[in-house]
Amino acid sequence: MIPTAVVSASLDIANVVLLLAALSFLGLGQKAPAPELGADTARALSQLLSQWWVPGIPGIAVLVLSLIANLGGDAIRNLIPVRR
Amino acid sequence: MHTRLLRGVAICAALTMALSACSSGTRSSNGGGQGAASGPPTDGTLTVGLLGDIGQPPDPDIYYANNGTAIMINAYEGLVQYKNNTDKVEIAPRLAERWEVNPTHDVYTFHLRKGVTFHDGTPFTSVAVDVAFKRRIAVKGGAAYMVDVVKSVDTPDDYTAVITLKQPNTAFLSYLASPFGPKMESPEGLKTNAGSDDAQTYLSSHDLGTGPYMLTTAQTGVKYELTQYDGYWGPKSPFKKVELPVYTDESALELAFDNGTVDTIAAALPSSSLEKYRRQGRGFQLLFCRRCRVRW
Amino acid sequence: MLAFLTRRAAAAVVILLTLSLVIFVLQAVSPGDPARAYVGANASPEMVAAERQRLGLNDPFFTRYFHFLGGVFTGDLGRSLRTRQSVVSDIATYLPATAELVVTAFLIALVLAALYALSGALRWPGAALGRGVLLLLAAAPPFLLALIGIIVFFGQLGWLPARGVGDFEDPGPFGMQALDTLLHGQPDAFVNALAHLALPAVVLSIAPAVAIGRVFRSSLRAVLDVDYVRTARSKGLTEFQVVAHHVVRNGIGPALSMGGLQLGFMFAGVVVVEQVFSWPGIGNYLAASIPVADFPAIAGVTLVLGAIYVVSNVVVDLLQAVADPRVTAE
Repeated sequence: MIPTAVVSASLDIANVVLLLAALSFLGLGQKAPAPELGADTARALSQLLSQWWVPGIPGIAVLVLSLIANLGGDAIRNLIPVRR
Repeated sequence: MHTRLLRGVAICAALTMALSACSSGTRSSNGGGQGAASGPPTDGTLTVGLLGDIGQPPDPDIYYANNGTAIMINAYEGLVQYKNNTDKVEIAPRLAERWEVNPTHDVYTFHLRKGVTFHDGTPFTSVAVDVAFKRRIAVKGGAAYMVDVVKSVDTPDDYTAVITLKQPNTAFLSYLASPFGPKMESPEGLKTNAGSDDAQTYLSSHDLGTGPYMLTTAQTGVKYELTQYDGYWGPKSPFKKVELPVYTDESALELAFDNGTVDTIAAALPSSSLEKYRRQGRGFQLLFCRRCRVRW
Repeated sequence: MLAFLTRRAAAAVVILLTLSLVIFVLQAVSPGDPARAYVGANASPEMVAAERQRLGLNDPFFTRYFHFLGGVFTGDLGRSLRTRQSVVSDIATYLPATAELVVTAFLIALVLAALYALSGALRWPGAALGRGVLLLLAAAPPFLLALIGIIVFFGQLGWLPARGVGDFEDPGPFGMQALDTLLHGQPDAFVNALAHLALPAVVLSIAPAVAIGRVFRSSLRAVLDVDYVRTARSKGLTEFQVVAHHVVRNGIGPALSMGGLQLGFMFAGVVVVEQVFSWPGIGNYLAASIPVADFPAIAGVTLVLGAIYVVSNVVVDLLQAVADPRVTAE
């Protein structure tokens, strides 16, 4: 039971980061010029084909944050001894 | 008189890209790309990519936003229009061939074009002017103020309309010429489809105009389609169908233009992409319009 | 069973009522003005103000809220300020396309999750790379993933279309392009519909696939070391038989829960995906209603999505009680 809860919790951190990015995409995030990774990505999407790094780098940052949360959850789960 | 400045915001003001005639090849109608854009469509269908939905129902007495103006002025016509292909502001005939304005600018007499039919087949006569004005006031859309000044519309015969205003107004012709100005709608059609809301529900997905194209599909947020009206009184365009798919994303729209899925984009290209197309030069016509001044 | 269902139904009502109040409060403090979009971008401020009054937007909060609530109980969610149709009819029009997308994405997610979990628990060689790629894709913001998908598969390769449900007319009764064209025996249209369905469904399925897959793998690993499994192995059963008959059935519980949860979440995640792909579903409808602050539409769609989420939770609980009798219906 606990490993499942830990996995869920770690996914939640990743979820929240991605949720914030999605909300910014829909226009519900913080207003400019407040810095927010998801908002920065979403607002610059029109430049994706010409200057890809403007939306790309904040997007990669969100990805890395979310990845760390996921992998961290995995690591924690692996530390908990399995039921015998 | 309303003048509005169309300022280039993040997107350069009015950027129209038209494919000039270079290599012509048949273009596949949709789906995946064929590589680089290959020239104007030869299958009679023009695909215009819309960035974002038009925003309101395509009803001439409601529509007062910007993205769908092309749909409105092709499906419907007013009594007069602004002269095409000139930078000067001049009023030109449309459904009215000539007109007289009395010295005090409160009586306007229009002599209407003969042989014009609405898309439902009924003939255009002077009665339609009165019906259109009354409907605009009843619907109370954003542009209803344009006909608020009208006291009465007299129709001495089928092709003459005498409009009397409540007080002198020198802007009245401009109102009539505006893309958002009162448009002629089929009185028969309005009566048949009136429902409980002056035919607003009907006109959100059909049209009752006289223009060169009929609105055959209107799916909010998805796509719009115009089909050529064979009974049109004026010149015929080579395009039998005009499709206007709605794209929500500039990059997807740009890619669609690049691979030929979309033939034309208007005012929807991010300024960061301009360099790329300027460099390509060949095969495209870029029309720039920074700080366009539009009067209506 | 009956007691269980009544309790959950009562809880659902309370949840949805609270949800409606929360939406209304949020709308009251949000800055959007639907009257502006209603009269058009070029209308004068006086017209906008007059329209605000006419639409009843200046009425006090509780007047509007109870009017809305009254409508909900009679099945009338009001009239959308953007499409000017009744919200109920709008939702009925757009829901099938969303259902088609979500169900397809969910099936893809289940397959991917099973692969993820089994390859991990059974230590299939070389599968770690595949899992790593999935993990990477799931960590990306969905709109970015969708756009990159469009750039690669539409822009560069030209294999898949970038928007819409299909290039053909939808012939059928269900409002689901792929299903309808299949039922009407139109192979070209069906393949075209599948091509349009591919990219959005895959993009939508990745994050849930990883979520379910990781839970499933974790519970599989937990079960694989248990006594009765060692007994099965020592009886001489192959690894596959061990897994199929003992491990999966015992380990599937948490994955089922997560699956139900993810299905509910998918109806929310679909908002972004539908917007990017111009997919004519309620997600796109909601995404279009937000910038113009179309209160009735937002409230209506949120309630419907909330109800779907609550119902999916109940169904998952029921399935769990059925699959594993040890779980008491709580």
